[in-house]
Amino acid sequence: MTKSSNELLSDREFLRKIEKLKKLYPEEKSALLAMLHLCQSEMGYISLEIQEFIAKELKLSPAHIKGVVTFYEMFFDKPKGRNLIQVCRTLPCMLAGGEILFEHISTKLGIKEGQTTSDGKWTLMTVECLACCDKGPAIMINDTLYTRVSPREFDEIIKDYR
Amino acid sequence: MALVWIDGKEIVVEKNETLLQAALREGIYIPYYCYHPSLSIVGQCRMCLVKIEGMPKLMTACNTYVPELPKEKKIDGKYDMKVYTRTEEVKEARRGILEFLLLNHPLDCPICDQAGECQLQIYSYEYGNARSDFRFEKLHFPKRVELGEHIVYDAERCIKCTRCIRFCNEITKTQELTLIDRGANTYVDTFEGKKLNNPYSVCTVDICPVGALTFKEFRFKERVWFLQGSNSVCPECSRNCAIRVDTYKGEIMRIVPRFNPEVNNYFMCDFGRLLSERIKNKELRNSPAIKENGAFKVKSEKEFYTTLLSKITRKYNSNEVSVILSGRMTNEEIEAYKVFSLIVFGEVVGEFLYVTGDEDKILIKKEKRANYFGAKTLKMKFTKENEDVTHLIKNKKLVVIIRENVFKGKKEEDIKKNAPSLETVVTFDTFFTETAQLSDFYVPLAGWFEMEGTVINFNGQLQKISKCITPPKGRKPFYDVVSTVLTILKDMDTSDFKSEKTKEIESIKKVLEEFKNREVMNKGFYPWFKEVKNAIPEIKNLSLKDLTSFGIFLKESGNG
Repeated sequence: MTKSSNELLSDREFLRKIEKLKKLYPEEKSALLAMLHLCQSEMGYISLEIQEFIAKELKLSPAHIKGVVTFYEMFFDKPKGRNLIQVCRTLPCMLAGGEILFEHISTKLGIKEGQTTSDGKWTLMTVECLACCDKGPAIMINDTLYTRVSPREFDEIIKDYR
Repeated sequence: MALVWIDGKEIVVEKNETLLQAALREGIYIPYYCYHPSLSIVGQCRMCLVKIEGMPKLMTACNTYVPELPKEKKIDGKYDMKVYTRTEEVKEARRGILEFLLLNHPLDCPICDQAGECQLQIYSYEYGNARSDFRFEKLHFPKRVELGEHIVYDAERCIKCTRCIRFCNEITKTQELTLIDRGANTYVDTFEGKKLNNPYSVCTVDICPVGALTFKEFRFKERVWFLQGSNSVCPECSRNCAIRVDTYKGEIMRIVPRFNPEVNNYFMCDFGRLLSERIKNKELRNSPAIKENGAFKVKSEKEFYTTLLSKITRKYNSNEVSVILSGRMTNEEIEAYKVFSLIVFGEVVGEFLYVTGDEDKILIKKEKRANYFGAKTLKMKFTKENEDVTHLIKNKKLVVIIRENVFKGKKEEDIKKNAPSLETVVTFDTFFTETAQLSDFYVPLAGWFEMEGTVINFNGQLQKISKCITPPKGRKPFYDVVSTVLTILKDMDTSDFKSEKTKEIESIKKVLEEFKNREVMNKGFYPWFKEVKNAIPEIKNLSLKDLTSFGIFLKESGNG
């Protein structure tokens, strides 16, 4: 999760994976999203050096890669915390108490939307619809979905994360 | 080929043509932002929505192709498509699109540099609403971003039509630009540490339909509705890009490319465009002057030319004379020079400097003089490629230089060393250049944007340049100088020429006699244009009218 760009670029295993991804599609550039996912899982975010590296690999312009990275909410071009909390802010969740939950999380962790705690443990974000409208309010921590979360339950949930 | 009914008009649409292209071709105007004839089609702006019969929703005309229907399915028995561009439904949609485009757009038109040539203003006037239903704080974006050396970007004014991005991807293929983020937060940016600095970067400003991209050298200099535009041609290489020179009170404010499908399409390079900046603050003189005891003395026209002619006419053998000519001379000036040379030297002497430089596959050509191919067509001689001036003046007694700064960076001693015998240097040029300062006689000429003329490009396209600004009376095109010389010679006692040989005086008289009844004695462009027509058989019957907008193609000129 915490490799630096240089470490990643000299990692043979990583380069092998990149080569493999390139051959997976009839057109090389189709591998772009898969590569971005790979890099993000290795590094936690997609640094400028990595963006330039991918541009070279796929013969695309660095600007194009930047466009794609910023287009998708799930890609980060700046380092984020070890754990990512995504709070659904769509109408059903908000009606079910999502707003109060978000305020609670924000006060508890001492960060606002888009910020990271100073110990680098948490990053807080809002997202559009986690597809659990019947079970709101919903939040997602890393890849785990939590539904019908009350502020108290949230305090319990985060004890499992380090 | 399909037959389309648009607002009661029958239009034939080609297979590879979209509805918008066909409609525009036939004079049915459909508003658009993102479509550009030279770029790929994206359907980004939604401004060109039209009603197509049988379609549940409105369609964008810019990316709708027309299929050919089988005979039994044709609408009204003959049409492949029926399109309405002016119904209430369509107008309502356009109003809606405009309202969306203007939601987060700062409506500060009075202080916007694009005001007056902004497509948002134009379409708002034609289709828009007088008021907006948006009652919230507008989104804010980066302003005054220096995307490149000459380009300033305002993301708040941007409507994200992506013309600039497509231009960099498709025309220059440098791919500097991209859209950042998405939805309402989208804006245009470059990759970190990279700038929009390709040789054609300012074209993105031309094709930007709104005030998002502005040209740093021109922005906020003048309101565009005060500008006076004149058609001309870029003098910086043998491509001869068609341009429009925008002036304000006799000052050139900017140069923009003008559409010419035979030459430059919609674009021009930044180097040519920045000529308007390079000619600022150059030293100019307004009357001919003679160097006396190291300082230039201004003389009256008559005194100047009498002195000059008696000093140089038929005084030297042709191997003692070097005349350096320039591809910056128009065809008319070259023809006029031929007459000048016949009188002064008894034959057409002189070589054109063959100046070359970098070229690319887009517009920039190798020959760095605009009328290189015009001089070639008029059968003039050339120096070797980028030949050093020291070769040309070696052991010469008289050097005449027209429109070239050949002594750039050279000192008087350097010249003396190469040509110790040099007696007289005569320079004709627009600016008071280093060469002019080192010469004995200096005649200021009208600049490229200060005279009428015709030029021929690398491909053989003959185009006309025009007087975008009026020079002071003393600065004339070279053809007017020759007309003046002819008039003065007529009244001059030919014995002033210090030539004892009566044969030569006779020959001068003969030349004068020949021109006495020709119109070139009267000054001006047109009589000399007639001389050019006589010199090039292909355009013998050409009228100036034929040169309007695109010029004409000459088969026998250019690279073929």
